[in-house]
Order: sequence, then C-alpha cells, then structure tokens
Amino acid sequence: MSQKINVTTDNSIWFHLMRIAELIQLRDLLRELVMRDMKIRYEGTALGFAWTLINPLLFVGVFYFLFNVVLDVGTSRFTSYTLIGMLIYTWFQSSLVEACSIARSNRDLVRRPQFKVAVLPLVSVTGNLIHLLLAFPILAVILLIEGSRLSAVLLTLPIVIIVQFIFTVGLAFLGAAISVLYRDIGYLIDVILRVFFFLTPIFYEVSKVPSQFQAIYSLNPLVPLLDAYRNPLIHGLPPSWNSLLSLGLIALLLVIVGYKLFVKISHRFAEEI
Amino acid sequence: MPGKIIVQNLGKKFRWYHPDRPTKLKQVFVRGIKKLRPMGEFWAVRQLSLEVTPGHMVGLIGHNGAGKSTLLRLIGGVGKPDEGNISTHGRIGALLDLGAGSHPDLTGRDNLFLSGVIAGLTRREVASRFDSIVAYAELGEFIDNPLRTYSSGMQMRLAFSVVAHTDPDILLIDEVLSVGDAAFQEKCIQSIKKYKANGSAILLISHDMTQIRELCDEVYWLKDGHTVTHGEPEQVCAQYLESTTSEAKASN
Repeated sequence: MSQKINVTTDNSIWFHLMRIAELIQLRDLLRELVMRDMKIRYEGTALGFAWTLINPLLFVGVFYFLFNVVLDVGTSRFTSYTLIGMLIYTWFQSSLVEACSIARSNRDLVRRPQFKVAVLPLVSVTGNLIHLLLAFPILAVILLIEGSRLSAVLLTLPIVIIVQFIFTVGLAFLGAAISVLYRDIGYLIDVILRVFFFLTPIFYEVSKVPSQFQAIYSLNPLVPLLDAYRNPLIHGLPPSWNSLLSLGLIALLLVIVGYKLFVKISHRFAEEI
Repeated sequence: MPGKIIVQNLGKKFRWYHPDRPTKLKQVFVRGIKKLRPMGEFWAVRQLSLEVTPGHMVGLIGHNGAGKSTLLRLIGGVGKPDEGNISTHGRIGALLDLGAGSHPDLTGRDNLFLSGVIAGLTRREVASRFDSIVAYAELGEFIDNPLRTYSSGMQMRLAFSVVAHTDPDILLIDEVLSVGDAAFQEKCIQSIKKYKANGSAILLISHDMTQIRELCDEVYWLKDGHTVTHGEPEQVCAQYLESTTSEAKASN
C-alpha cells in the first residue's frame, strides 16, 4: 500500500530529523507499554516484584538439594553457577513464550490505525530484561558470598546482554509472527524451551557431557552465551570474544530475517486474531 | 497542516472459515484437514473510490457490515488492500475503538500517557499537553482514579481529548460521538469544525443523520462494500432513509 508521507527529498536534514523523532517516539512507546505490563502484573499484590524473584530462587534451592546433596553433580560454586543459568534462561524463555501470544493479547492495539505493531516483540523481551536486571542485586550478594570479586572485566557484561537481547528479539519476531497464523507454534516453542532447560548447562557443567555428545551439544547457542556471563561473573575472566562475535552475527541475521517476516505477516494480524 | 485521503478502486477480501475450523493441531486430526481451508471469501470492500480534500469532511452511512469500519481501518494502515490504492497525507488521528491499549486497573493518568504515546506523541509532548487534555475531558481529580471506575462517557471524553491533542491532519471517527452527553458532543463537534477550518481531512461514520447533515460536505452510502451513491448530504441521507423504511415495511 502506498502510504505517502510528507517528505520531499530523502536526504534532506528534515528527513533525518524526522527519523530521530520517530526513534524517540518508538522508545517512548516501548517504555509506556513495558511500564503498563509491569504495573498490571504487580497491581494489588502485596509482594509485588518479589514474586518474580521467588521462582528462580526456589528452583536454585531445590536444585541445590537435588544436585549438590542427593546427587552430587560436582558443579563448583553451585549457587552462583545455577542462579546465573536460571536467570539468563528465564529471560530467554519468558520473552519467547510471551512473544508468541503478544499479538493476541494486544488485539485492540493491533487493530488500531497507526499503531506500530513491530514494537510488540520488543515489549516482551524488554519487560523480561527488566526483571533480570532487578534480580541482579540478589545475584551480586550470592556471588560475593561465594568468593567472586569486583573487577573491571564486569564491564563486558552489557555487551553480553546486548548480544542476547538482539538474539532473543530476532526469535521473538519470528515466534510472534508465525504463531498468529499457526497457534501450534506457540505451544511447540513452549515445549521446546522446557526441554532445552535440561539441554542447556544451567545446573551442570558442559565438561560433564560425554565427549561423543560434545560437538552436537555445543550447537546450542545458549552454551557459549552462558559462558559469556559466567566467565566475568564467576571466574573474573573476559568472555570468549570469538564465540560472542559469531553469536552476535547470528543474532543480527535473525533480527533481519525475523523483522522482515514479521512485517510481511503483520498485515494479516488484524483479520487473523 | 492540510491532510488528504485518496482511495482508488479499493478492494479488501476476507476469507471465512468453517465454524469448526481447527486452531490446534490435535483438532486437525479429529475434525479433518478439509476444515482448515477457507470455505469461501467475501469482499468487505470492493471497487470503492473516494477522496477527502483538505478542510473537507466526508460522512459514511450504511447498515452494519457495509464495510464502513473496514474502510476506516484500511485508511489507517491496518491490513493490506487486495486491490486498489490508498494514499494519505499527514498525521492520522483515529477514534475507532475507545480505550484501545488502555487497562481498567490503571489510572486515568497512566492511560492518558499510554494512549497519547500510542497515538504517536512522545512522552514529553504528552506531559506538556497533560493539563490541557484533562481540562478538555473535564475529568478533574478523577484522572488519578482507575479507569474501571469511569463511566463510558468519561472514557470517551478522555479518548477524544487525547486524539484532539495530537494535532491530526486526518481524522477517522467511527460512531463514537454518540457515547458522550449532549454538552460534550457539542464540544467535540466544535473541535471537529475547528480542525476542518484548519485544513484537516475528516471521515465520519455515523447513524445520526442530523449529525451527518450538519457536519459533512459529502456523504457516501455504502452497501455490501461498495458505494450505492454519494453526493450532497441532504439528498443521500434522504435516499438512504427512504430505502431503510421501505425495507422495514417489506420485512414486516
């Protein structure tokens, strides 16, 4: 459809100013929608945000009992190691599961003229990122108790978070778009993510995987990603730049493919949901 | 800024499915793969052309299901036409569903920011217009109460006030004016007239023929997705009313 906009030439200063204004507008839209979801989620609860922390902490507690006391999997600094795994995986999992139903749960927005639908997958990934960041103080306490020390290498963490953000957004675009047409995809992704919880080194170390499975096991992009978090946080080492770079390239590719497919399918959202 | 809408030979087709269409894989096996395919399709809008020039207001009348709202959504960029072209110039303000994106548990203030930003303003712009929006909507201290405590008239006032403060060059209004009380309706109509005088292009869906006659420069009567006739409001409204009464008599 030809939506003509009041722009005379594409390289005028006016055009670039328009683009910047659009980006600010998009940022504000994202912020409002994320804040709306946060307010709705904790509205009228006594514990509020604590509910989001209870889940990973409870699981780490249970895992501690199971895999450190009942069966010893021999993970060193078990609590730090598992909590990082839990928090990072929760961000990834919740973002994708939410993205698969986000068009349907925002039906009235999708059907509203001028609404930028492509912001919705960003809302699910950003909202869950905020939950991760809010849990960082607790993680910091546990890391300090288990002997981690503050060092300059922690400054690499924002880069790792950005790479994971782009990677997840790419998948969120794909999941959000396809699950509007085929609702099964939402359920399928949910099941796959539950299975991958166990196929990802969350409470055990990669070295425990027998060598004949190592090659295929390491194809899971979350393996290098979790390393990139644990190296600086637990061992005081920088992340492996090579694997982070290749992960970043995959992430960019996913975002481009995902966004294109999303835009293509999003014209049909209004009639499909 | 002057707004403009040009619609040429627009066609939008919807598929309709079997009422038992499986939406889950399990149901495909139970109900059969045949029911997955569309049973047929219908054109919600077909061969429709219209033009709204700056400073003009066009009314759309017709029975439910005539394609009026579909047309407004397509102009607003929701969905893709199967045929024809739409071109719009200027910022679009739309009053289709009241309270899209709003949430009953959030306060009027939260919802005001939300709908302002959804309508295309930045947060800063909403903040600077906040007082004026609340004053226009006549909400006063109610603005900090949850939206669920609002009457439908209050919700409509808030929604209209936000859209009126986005400086739309194109205004799409679907049958919402009738929600407000007489005094607020009059206020809305004054605002609409002001936008019109400033060069906005306005499309209004209404079943209220007095409103259509008073406000519009031209009226399109739609039926089954195409234009029955269009022209002077007086004439078209009279023809439309005549046909509705004869249809009603015939069905009796």
